[in-house]
Amino acid sequence: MAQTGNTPNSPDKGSKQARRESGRPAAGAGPQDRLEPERVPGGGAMGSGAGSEVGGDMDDAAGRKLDCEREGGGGGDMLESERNAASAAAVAHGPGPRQAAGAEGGAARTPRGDGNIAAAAQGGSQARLTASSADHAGIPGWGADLERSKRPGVPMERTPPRLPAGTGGAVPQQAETVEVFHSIERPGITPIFGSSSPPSGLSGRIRRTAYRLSENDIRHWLLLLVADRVNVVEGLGLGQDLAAGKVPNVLGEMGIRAEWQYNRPALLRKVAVTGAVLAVGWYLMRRRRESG
Amino acid sequence: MLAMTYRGPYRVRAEHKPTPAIEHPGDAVVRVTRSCICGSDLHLYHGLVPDTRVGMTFGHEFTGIVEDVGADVTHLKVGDQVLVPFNVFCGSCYFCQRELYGNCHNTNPEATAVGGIYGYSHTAGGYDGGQAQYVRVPMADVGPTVIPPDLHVEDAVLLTDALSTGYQAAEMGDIAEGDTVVVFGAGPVGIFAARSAWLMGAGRVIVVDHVDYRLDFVRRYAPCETIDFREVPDMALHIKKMTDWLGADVCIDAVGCEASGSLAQTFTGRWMMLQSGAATALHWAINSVRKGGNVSIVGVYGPTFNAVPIGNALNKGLTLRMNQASVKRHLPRLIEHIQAGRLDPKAIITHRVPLEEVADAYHLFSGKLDNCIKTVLIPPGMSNIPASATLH
Repeated sequence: MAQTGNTPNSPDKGSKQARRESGRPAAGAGPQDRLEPERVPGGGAMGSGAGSEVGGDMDDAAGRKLDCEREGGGGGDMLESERNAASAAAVAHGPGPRQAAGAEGGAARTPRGDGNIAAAAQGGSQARLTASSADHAGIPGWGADLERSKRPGVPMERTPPRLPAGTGGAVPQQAETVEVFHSIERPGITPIFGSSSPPSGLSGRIRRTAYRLSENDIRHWLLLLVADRVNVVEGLGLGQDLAAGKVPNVLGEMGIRAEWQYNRPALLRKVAVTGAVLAVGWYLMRRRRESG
Repeated sequence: MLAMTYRGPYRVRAEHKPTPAIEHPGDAVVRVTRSCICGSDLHLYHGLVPDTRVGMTFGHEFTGIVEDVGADVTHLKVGDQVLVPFNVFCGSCYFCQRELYGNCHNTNPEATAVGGIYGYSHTAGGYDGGQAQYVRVPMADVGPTVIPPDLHVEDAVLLTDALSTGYQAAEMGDIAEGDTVVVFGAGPVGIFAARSAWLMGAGRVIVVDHVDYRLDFVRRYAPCETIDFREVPDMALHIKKMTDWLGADVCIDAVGCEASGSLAQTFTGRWMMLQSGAATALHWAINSVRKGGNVSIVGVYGPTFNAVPIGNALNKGLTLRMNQASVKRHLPRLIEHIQAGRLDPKAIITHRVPLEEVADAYHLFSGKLDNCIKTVLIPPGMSNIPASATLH
């Protein structure tokens, strides 16, 4: 797979010349560019083993230490509920969010921070945590939509809709230039519809049957799935490619280049296993033929 | 034009198709500048969504430049740079009049349970999507939003679905100050849900997944606590222990039907297809939330049925809220957040791939190879997008 630096501000090198940017931040990226994916540790092109400079960086060792403190002596003098609250609410001051670690070692990971078990424990058995913007100073925009009325989806059904003036009137009917099915759970075709890939061949006949059944009938969906599989054979065979004198590059369509580039050991393993199975099969068949 | 086309489960390719035309007076044709591969595209890619037809073009996250408009379009003009919400909606039906744009009743003839969605099978209306050079955009006066000149196109493209869906996931959780929020799934939507939970005043945010590099990323990006579920014998028990035995106030399912973590769910849902995918995350969400708590679902499931502990939901008095994101209603506020530096969506983009290499891009994303989190596809000739100002 070719790689490119495709950003709106870069010279247009043509898409063929374009190169995939693995984890590279976009040109003109905003102030949070420090969170760019290339800093993800442990990932090949994304900066294997490179630690993040972000304040909320995770530190396994620190996380485990927190777990130990909670599960060991740190919780020894606490009531169980206090221990749980501490476990749930190790407050981090500074750039990271309030931190907490998992109850089971290593399972929940905490970003590095000033995890403060004692501070959390002072909350006593109060299990529900009281947040404040001060606790989350390192999180851009924390609480910006705390007020429900500021949330665009509240109330869920909002009328009239906030659409451009002059819209929302009657919708003219789209001309039906290809065969379009409609659910029998509605009186007819919709004013607007997609005209992609009209039904054809045997798969089309199966779909026609399926659309005589309601969406409530599972046979409707099963028939459509069967039609999809038949359609694949049609697409591969007489229906399209071969009929057009074209031999489809099936492996290419399955992304063999990406597999070769990024998952080569697994690909070689699959090839070896498949080859071995075929060889054994061929050998057994040959033996049977010879003995018969 | 060049477009991604579906050939069958795990098979896609870039090939030439006819350029879309105006089919309705409310249509626009948009030249795509950026499109993304969404986690929910993988459900199509894996052949799990009924009525996914060979030859269809996927892609419901895209931005573009208006190339042509229908006779009834008055608010958009040729040359406008737009971001296009993944919902195809009319703006006038019963549901659109209530701002439930993801539930539009006028854009999907094939199913009543879901509105129209670009490039998401005929179960979602049969529209070709934006992983192409051009795309037809119905109801152009109500759907697309002109991209503000100071908004980066990669921020804009993430507003069309992933960020809006993540934000709505947090919003549907009805988060109150100090709430403990558990997000299942560290994909793009889960990452944005975790980030949005802080905006709503969460006291504690915990993200659950099993993909190390994604957990590493979300831990720093959100920032939040993380749990690798492979290291936890029992998820609900673990969350209870972390929350003084009460459970989380809010649980968000940002995984959907291809979840890992439960052999029973995986066997029945993904291997045998006896249910609409593996509902592991939803199962955990219901059992991990406290009594009277909220479960928010944005993970995508199929149209038939799933095995989840609904009896526990009843006995615990849970509020379950779920929907496809109503993107348009969230845009003004989310754009404010980006402009104010409170959100930085484009930071999650790990791969920028030419449209010609779409097959490799899908495989990369599906296989979680090369630490892939979010992939952006770039159509030919669109490496360098003209500045918005020159188009207005």
